Amino acid sequence: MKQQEILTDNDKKKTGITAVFFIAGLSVVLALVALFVFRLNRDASFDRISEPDMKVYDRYYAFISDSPESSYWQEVFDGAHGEGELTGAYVEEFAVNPAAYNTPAERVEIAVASGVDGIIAQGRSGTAFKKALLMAADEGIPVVMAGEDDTTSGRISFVGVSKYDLGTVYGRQAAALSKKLLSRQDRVKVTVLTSQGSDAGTRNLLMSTVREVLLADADLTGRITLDTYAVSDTGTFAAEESIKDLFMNRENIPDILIALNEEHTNSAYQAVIDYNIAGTCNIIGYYESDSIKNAIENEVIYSTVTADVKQMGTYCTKALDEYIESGYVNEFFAVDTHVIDKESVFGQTDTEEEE
Amino acid sequence: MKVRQYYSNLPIGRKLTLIYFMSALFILAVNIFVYANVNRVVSRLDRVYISNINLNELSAALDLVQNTMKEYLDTKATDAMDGYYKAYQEYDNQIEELSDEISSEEPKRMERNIRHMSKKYLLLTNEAIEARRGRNVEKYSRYYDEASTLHRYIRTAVNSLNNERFRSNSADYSLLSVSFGYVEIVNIVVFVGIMLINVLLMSLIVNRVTRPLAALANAAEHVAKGDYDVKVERTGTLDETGVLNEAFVGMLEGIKHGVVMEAHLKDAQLKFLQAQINPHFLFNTLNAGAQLAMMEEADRTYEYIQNVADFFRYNTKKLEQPVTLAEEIRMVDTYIYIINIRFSGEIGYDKDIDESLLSVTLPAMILQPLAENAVQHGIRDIPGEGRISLKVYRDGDYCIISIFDNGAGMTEEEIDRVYRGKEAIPDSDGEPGGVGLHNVMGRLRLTFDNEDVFKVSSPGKGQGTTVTLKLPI
Repeated sequence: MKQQEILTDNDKKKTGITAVFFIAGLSVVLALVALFVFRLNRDASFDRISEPDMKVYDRYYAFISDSPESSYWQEVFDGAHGEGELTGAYVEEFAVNPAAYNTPAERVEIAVASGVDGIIAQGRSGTAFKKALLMAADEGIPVVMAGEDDTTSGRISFVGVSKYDLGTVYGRQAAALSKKLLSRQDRVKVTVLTSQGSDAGTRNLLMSTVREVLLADADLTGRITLDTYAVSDTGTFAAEESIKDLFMNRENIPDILIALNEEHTNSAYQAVIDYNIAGTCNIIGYYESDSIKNAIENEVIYSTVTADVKQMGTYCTKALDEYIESGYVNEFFAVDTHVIDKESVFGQTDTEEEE
Repeated sequence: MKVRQYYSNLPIGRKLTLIYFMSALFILAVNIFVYANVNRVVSRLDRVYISNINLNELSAALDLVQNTMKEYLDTKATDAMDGYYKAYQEYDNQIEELSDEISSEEPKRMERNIRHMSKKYLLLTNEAIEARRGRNVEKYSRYYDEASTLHRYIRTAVNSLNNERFRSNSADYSLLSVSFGYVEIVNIVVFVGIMLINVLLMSLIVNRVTRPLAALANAAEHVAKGDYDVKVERTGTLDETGVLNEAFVGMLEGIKHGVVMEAHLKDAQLKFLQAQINPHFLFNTLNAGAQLAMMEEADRTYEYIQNVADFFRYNTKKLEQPVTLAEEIRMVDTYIYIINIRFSGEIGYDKDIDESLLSVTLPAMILQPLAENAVQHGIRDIPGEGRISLKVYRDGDYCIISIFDNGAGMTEEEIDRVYRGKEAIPDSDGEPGGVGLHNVMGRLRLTFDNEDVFKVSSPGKGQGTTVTLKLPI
């Protein structure tokens, strides 16, 4: 009986020891897990800090536009950058970080001094800019111009919309709209917004094409007045103010206002709203940003002509790649254009592509 | 296994020291681990802004090149020239540290651009210096302008990169700060956890050390209550608890032994107390009888009564104390005399005694019960002359005492029964049975702690019996 009691005591002790072992084991396991998790977490943090996934490229192209923040040029850049990713070239929106300090001409100079392999530049006029481009050519750095062309800048190629094609598309849109308006009125005034600094040759080509298309339509003969309005773009908000000036004199307000770039389209749209002349002044714009699409829906903008902007960027990189690889490249890459109006519900109505 | 055995045999003091040492070592290891982690994070924190420091140095070196160049162009002084070349070298060394990769990471690309612009800038400054030395005013002025423009671009780029680095370093710093906070929490958790584990392990190990002591205490409690059958597990270790355990087990055996001895003594005493009722009375009355016989000059009667009185006097002595062999033999003599008077000299009694052994001590009441047994069971009922021989002689270190009777003899079975304590019951004639053979045997064995101390032998039925005692001298 007493021996049994002793045995029972032993059993109790054994159970106690097992429990202690269990708790100790559990604690050790928990501590190890905590240490492991901590180590994992900390190593992950360190990895994040020290070495991000870095990729090294073979070629380095500078992308220089007047307004890198605009969605139009952002899309062109995306196209160029995306193509570069495929071919091993890094396309960078060059020297935009201290943007306030560097003019486009300076940015080209910095790109040249930085020894880039190629430059994609938004076509623009200006002697400093041209000088910088010529300096790049002197240094043997190929330059591709996008959007606007300047054949005297020493660029190797131009990527953009054919001005003739663009004039035709604008002309057709203006003609169609004019016909609608002429059902209510006798004459229609069409004003084309041009940049003060744009190349006169290309500007004239576009204008003559628009005129040609309008004159070719017998219904419109003698009932259309076509003129241009030079928008000042020297300085911030200059374009918007300049367009507003157009509406100051109500007699000058055109029935149809043709804008040839995104900035002018947006400025014209704002001015029409501000002066409450929607319906009186119909805009045929350029590009298809969200705000432009909204304006089409609200019938402030009649239609918009847009190029395949991404394609423009892609062609720019392709042109540079081709030139660096072979030493030769086409002088001109034409990108597709589309028209977007309310009826087509943002559908594609016209496609032209030519090289 | 060896380690375990070694550990088991360690003294408790050493064991506890070892446990404490292991525990301290364990905590030290954890401390080192935690310290290493903290150290790593702290050193990383220290290095966070190093890139900013480097860029500031780069910027200063660039300005020095520009300033020393301008100074030389202004003064054409040799010192300015030396200053320019030193600055040039310093800046050139620094830009070599910049990355030259076209990387997807903007800071790396900025470094590359700064590197290229700087190379070109240094070329231009050199050209300007050379033109100044050649006194070509138009050229050095142009190179200076170009270099200044580039200097401005590089400054802007370095500042821009510095800002970029600062932004990213600040983000790193925040991340590391969070990580550091996390390290602190983990450290606390680890320390608390380790402390708990340590306490548990310590209690476990200390429990293992003290468990045999607790078991021993438990057993001691049982023994104190008179339960000598308590089972004490032997630890088998050589530490203090093991020694204590062994000592306790030995002590328990000793106590058990003593208790059995005491039980036998009590048994013997009981028998004698029963017997003493008569002896005390008889002893007194016999003394009176002896005096009467003396007065009547009946010498034989006197002698007889005196012997009987002696016999009973011996019986009344304390039995716990050992007696000499001489006293025991005298008691046998007395007993045989009385028996012979009683049975008219039927029993032949001869002795062969080694006188040198008479002082050997042995428990009281050993030989007389043997002689009585020889008379009662051996020669009482045999037809011829009964004879008892008592021999005492030396055999090495032993004193051998043998009592032989030529009586009925014993079979092996009967001898075996004697050994097992089931010898013949007291006589049928109603005389007290005296002290039984088993009692004698038990007391001798307990006293001398030897199984061979008592031996009964007989060739067979009718051939007599010999009881031999082998006492250590």
